[in-house]
Amino acid sequence: MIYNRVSVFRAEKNMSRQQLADQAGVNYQTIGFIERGDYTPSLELAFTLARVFNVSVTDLFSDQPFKPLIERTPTS
Amino acid sequence: MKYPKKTEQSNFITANNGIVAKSLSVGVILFAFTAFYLIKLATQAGEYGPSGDYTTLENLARAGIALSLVSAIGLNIVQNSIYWFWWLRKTPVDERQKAVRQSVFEEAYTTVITGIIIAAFFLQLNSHDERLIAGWIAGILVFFMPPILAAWHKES
Repeated sequence: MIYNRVSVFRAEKNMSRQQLADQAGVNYQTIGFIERGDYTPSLELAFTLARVFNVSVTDLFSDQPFKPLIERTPTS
Repeated sequence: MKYPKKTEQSNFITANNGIVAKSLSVGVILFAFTAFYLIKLATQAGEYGPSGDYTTLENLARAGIALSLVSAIGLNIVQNSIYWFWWLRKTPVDERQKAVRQSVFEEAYTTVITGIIIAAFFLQLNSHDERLIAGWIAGILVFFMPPILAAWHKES
């Protein structure tokens, strides 16, 4: 199972699914499927989404559940 | 934090995989099999009753096939022409839709072939019109089974 934080970053950027889908070049329903964990995107789409949010792929996708941001310690 | 409007996030603002697609898929099957039932009745009426009954029932059967065909074309358009009529597509098909299309075509192929084999064993076609209507139904189902199955596919 692949976990993701697409909905978190999308809310942070104040984007609709349609806006994100347009920038990633996919159908807006595909964004919904990814956010709910019903569809695991290809590497290519994962990189595209990460580029849209200006983060790394590992910030967006993980094979382990993401911890809430409040529990994470600063890295630097 | 300001979240996008709910309507902008909804997955159900189009009819794709929604109630319209499901209704149309049921319509395709229902009209097709009603047409077959009517042409069977027409054959019986032609053998035992006045010829006027035969003509009325035959016309109703033809109307059923026409409605089934219209429903099938409507279903395909509602689904953004992912399966047929690609020139009517409003947006390109993305990777998830291609994956769904692949699995739906596999399921449709198996379903239609199984259905045709079973029908070949058990269906009796007694008149030219019955064979004609059965041919139309087979054609519609062969061509439009993928969009019919996709209407009920949870990932489409």
